[in-house]
Amino acid sequence: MNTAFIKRVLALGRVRPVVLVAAIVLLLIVFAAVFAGVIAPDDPLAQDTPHRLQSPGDGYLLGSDNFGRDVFSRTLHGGRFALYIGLASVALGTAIGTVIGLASAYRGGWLDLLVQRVVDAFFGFPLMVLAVVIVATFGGSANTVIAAIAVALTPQVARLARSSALSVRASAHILAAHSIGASSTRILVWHFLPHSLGPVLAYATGFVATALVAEAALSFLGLGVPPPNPSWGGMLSDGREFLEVAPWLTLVPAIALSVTALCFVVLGDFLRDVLDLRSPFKRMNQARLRNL
Amino acid sequence: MPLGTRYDNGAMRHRIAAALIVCTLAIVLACTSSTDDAASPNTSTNQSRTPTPVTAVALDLDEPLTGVTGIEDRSALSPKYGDVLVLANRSDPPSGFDTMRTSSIALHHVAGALFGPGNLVMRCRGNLYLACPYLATSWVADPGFTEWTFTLRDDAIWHDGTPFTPKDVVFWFDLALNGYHLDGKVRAPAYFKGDLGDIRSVEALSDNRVRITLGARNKFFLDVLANPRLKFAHPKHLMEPRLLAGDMSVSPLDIGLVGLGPFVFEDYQRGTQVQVRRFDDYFEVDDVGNPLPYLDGIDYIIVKEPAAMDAAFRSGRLDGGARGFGHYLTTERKQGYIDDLGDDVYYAEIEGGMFRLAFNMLKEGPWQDPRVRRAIALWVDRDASIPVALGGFGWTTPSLGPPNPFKDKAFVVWPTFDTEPLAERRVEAKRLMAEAGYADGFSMGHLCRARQTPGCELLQAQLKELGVDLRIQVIDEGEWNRARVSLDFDSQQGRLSVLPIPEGTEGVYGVYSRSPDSYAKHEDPQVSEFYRLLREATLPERRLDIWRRLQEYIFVEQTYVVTIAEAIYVAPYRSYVKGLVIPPEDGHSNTDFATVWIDQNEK
Repeated sequence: MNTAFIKRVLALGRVRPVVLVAAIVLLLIVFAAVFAGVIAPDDPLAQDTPHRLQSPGDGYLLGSDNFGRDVFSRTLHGGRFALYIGLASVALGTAIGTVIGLASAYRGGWLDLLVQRVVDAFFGFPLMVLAVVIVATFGGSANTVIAAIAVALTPQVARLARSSALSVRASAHILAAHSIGASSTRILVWHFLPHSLGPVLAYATGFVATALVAEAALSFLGLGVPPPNPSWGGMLSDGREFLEVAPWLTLVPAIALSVTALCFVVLGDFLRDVLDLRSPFKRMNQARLRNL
Repeated sequence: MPLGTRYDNGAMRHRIAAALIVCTLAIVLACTSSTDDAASPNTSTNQSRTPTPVTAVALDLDEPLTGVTGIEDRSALSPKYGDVLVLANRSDPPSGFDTMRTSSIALHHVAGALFGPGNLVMRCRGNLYLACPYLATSWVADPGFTEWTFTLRDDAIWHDGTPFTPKDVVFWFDLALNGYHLDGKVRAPAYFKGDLGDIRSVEALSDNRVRITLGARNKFFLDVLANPRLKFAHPKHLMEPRLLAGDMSVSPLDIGLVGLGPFVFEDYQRGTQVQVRRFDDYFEVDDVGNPLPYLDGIDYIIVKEPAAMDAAFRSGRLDGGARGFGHYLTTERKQGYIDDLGDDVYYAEIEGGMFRLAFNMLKEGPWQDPRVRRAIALWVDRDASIPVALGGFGWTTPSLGPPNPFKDKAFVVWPTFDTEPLAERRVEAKRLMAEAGYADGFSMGHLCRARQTPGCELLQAQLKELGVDLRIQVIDEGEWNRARVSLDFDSQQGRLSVLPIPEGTEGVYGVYSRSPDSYAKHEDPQVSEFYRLLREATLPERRLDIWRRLQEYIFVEQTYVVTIAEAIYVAPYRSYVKGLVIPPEDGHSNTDFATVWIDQNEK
């Protein structure tokens, strides 16, 4: 491995140890989720009713649930669903929101006015309300949940991308690009997008945590991934009834969800500090990292 | 104590001594009072675990009952009077409290107090399997059991003071059977229309008599009528003007919840509580002639979350738990009650409904083949369902039907189908699947009520081994009420409850065109023929024989419904809640709480 890279990582650990820890933990979680099929000792759907509600360590690393299913295996596979839904919904919402925001800023006029009013309308709906309406209308499935969260994220990203783009719309280099006959697409991609990408990426990374919690909330309400597929929210919901006799049913997915969401929040904050031009930390961090 | 203040040790000793003397005197007085009360004949025996059901109303038809009204101080009659019972309720009563629209226990837990435990008749409090007089004092059937004439009591009045008359009866039956039609607008009939059977006409004969004419002989019409879900919540003098004004969806809530029950509506805060208070002009009396109800009122606290109900109960904010699947205790939750409260709680155990799988025979699919349905029935591990799907309270035996310890009628002693060991049954199931051409299995949708997903998950995992991919479609309560009567599904759970008499089951096992709410959607004329024979049977042995043949036909020969296990519903009540008549089955029964009282000495 590149020694310089290792040095930079170690230096980052000295400068922002929390970020380094978050990144490492997140890597482990992603690894565990991606290779859940290999790591998980049992089929997450396999029921063993004679061995229901077994405590951790008693043949089951993290105990068994009401159906005798292995909680550890279900948590790993639930993580796969959570990360898939969280990342996919944010990627979708970010992509669509960025395109809408940049186009709105670039074209201005009636299009900008119309898009912003629609965005305003969407801002009127809290994330969960919007998501519940969409999932209840179209039925609970992983793809519906992704769409529901993406729809909630899109207007936020659109507004952010637009505001970033507006600050450069009247810049000299944009005027220069226009004057040499650059196409709209080229200007959008090569001049507007790089300028907006930093804040959008920082915001999107932090929003993954929100998406994870939203997915868990929908599953908790029975609107997320349909049973018996494991999801952290669904596991939380199932565990409520056994809180006194089998607290691990609730604690394990709750810890997994909290830790993963926290990691994304920390990374989102870090990215904002590094990429956001307005961040007071940007210059300081860049200088410190450059000197490493 | 302010900082720096010093107590005089001598004065402190005197104060402590005085306090001890006062406390000792108070304890002595309290014990003396308790001993006196224990000797009172009105104090029931210890009900810590298995309360003795109280037969509160001894009706003598030779002596017309008269309500005791205008009593200023009821506590002078009996120490049972007074106090407000606080019960949990599973959710807001749905459908505007309309008993014609839903059988939801969230409504009927409250509706019993408002609208009474029955209609013309009720299930006897002392014996659920008998019909007792309620709004009718007597009745007579013609020799063919097609004409039933009821004599109404003359002291029943609606909560707004309007006398209850035969016109109310005619109006209610008409509304339930035919709905309402006005200028092209339509109000749908009651969901339980199929349960009532073939009623040709309902006529008011005089000021206090009503005649109901049936299309076919039914010796057990009273048993059908005694279904506690059939409550008079629709006073003609209030409902009819609204209907005539074109308000086809008018509900009891819209007209102020005016009923005939022991409690009158006081307040309803959506999502919070329903309050009812004693109806002083209620007509029922207890076994020594004192007017019912005993309680000043009931507060139904709406607690949607079972864990929240447990916490509220265990912290002393509830006198009784909610009725309804999901809120009934599981073995794990009950253990928490026992650990915390010990003997301060008793547990009502009510035989619950059946965990089952029913096929939509009116939709194309592999389940049209009876061998496939039979294979599924043979495959299911019924024992595993009790802890997982029924909260640990329930039973299944080698027989198809459980040896219900509560039931006392011959017809409910179930036949013993499918007694072979599970391994043998599964071999036969595999053979049947192969014979039907589905050795590789098939996919089948399964309508799943959101609050009963564990049962669906269990079935899905079990049937996967048979090769059946059960696609669970989880739906919420509102959608459930629509979807279960539709034909938009392959299989479903069905409602949990069944009626305790054979004739009353046509609504859930009968043909779809007659009973849209039936579990399995089919149009099998043979089933209708069985029910016709049941209605015409005169001898108990004949009735029992038909009922068993009908069950064998539905559950084995055709396997329209796969019966899996029977639940036991467990509801907690504080030990000071006395006089509760716990029904041996069907949690919808005895929800009027007219005989309940609170023992102040224990509270």
